[in-house]
Amino acid sequence: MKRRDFIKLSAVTAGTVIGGQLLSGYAEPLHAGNSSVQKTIISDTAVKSMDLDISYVTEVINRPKLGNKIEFWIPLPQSDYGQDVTHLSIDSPVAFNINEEPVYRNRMLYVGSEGLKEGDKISVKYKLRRKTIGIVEMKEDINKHLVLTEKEETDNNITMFVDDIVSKEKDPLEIGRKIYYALIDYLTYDKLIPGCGLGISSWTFEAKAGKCDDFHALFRTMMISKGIPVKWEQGFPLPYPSDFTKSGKLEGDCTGAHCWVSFYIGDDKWVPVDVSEADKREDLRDYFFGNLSPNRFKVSSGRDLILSPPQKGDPLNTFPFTHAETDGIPLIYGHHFRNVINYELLNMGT
Amino acid sequence: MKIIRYLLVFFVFLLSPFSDAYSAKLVVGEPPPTFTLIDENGKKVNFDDLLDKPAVIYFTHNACHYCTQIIAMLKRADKKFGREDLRIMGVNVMAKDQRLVHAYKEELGFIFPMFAGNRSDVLKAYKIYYVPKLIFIDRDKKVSKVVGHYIHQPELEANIKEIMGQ
Repeated sequence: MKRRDFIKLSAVTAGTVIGGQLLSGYAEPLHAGNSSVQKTIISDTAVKSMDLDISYVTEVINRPKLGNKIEFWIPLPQSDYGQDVTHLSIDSPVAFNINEEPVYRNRMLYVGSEGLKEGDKISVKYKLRRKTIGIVEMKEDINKHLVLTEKEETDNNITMFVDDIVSKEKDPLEIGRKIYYALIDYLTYDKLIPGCGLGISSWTFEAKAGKCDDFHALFRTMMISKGIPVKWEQGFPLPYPSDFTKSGKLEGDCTGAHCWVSFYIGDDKWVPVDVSEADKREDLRDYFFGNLSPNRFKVSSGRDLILSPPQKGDPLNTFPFTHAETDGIPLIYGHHFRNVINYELLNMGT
Repeated sequence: MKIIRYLLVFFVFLLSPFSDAYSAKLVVGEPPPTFTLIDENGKKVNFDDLLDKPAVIYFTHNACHYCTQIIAMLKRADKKFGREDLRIMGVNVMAKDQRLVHAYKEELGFIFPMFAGNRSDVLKAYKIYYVPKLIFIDRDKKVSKVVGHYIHQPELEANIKEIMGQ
């Protein structure tokens, strides 16, 4: 697809059309289902779906001094077992392509142009219905989810810890359960650090603390060391239903993203877990083993990603936000470009 | 088999040209781990040679808004406190060689040195689980403070004054 001058692409995605269910013009308090309720009495686990308008805008702040061609790879979410993505529209001042990388089938908007100038914005908008999910049945090649990235390599300390926790257990579901609870007890979610975690398992184990990248990298390390495939899912967090105001904004850099994982238990069944949220929310400790709340959305899968067309820099650790390069050198977030994600809650379903 | 593996690891360690501080760790009150790193021109520089005056070592990368903002603060501090009495240096943890460091410096327009820091030994020694991270080193070459979060200009300057003994 190559068209110039503010090209609009509408409704290219499959999935449930939710337009007919949208609420409009409502004010606080928020609506849960069709009942008007105070925010404080909405139970975070009672809400089964969230309908949202999402806007993901990448803006050129400064053109690079070195090099002419700016390249952007912007993650495009897809409909799957946890979400329906519809009404996708793209505004771009220059030509773009929608590509898919072959390993994890991540879809992305690619722009490579010498014509991008300061102030230019590439805007991706869509409607999203995010659903509560439990154990998912889905046919998928499990082999790619058995490969650890370099950052997830194990060491003797981790191996001893896992062997001790798992002992003689052979059932993947029970192994997952043991490691999930052991990690919640062992690690502390470090709320004080607003920076960017690197998701390196051995360091997380040593530090006994981390953020979602660190928790889930270590979970993958431990599970995969026992031969259990674990799928990395990357997206953004949204407020819990009890905290949700009508709209909000996220910084689309490495501080704003969220991740979770699903592990394979055989017979095409995948068990979702969110270990870092379970650590943060003690009341949801049991819930997040086998369930995911809908206050999130996914934009990509996998780690160590080669984009399409391939970026010239290193494989991406994860792909929640726009990757930008000039002449193969990553551009500087906050100087050359910025991503802003705006979301607006349309409905919560119970 | 295990003994052979340990011996191999030991020899690799000995032969590494950058193994100068592999076992050192960042501890407040102690000298910082020192390494030989590559600067924006591809020149190998030993950190230790740059610790001849109070110093700020800043670990950063390209993908973090806070990190980019801190560069602007360090540029102001560099100008305010002067290079005679203070050493500011950056380490880009994304950079494996001089190319990215050179571009980063050129684009953000600062002149204090920056090094390619995408090395697990360096990151581990300095406990860089996250960026941004600032290490303040006093004139006795000892780590005075570690700030592992976003910093405001007054806090940055207060820490600089402390290591400069002002």
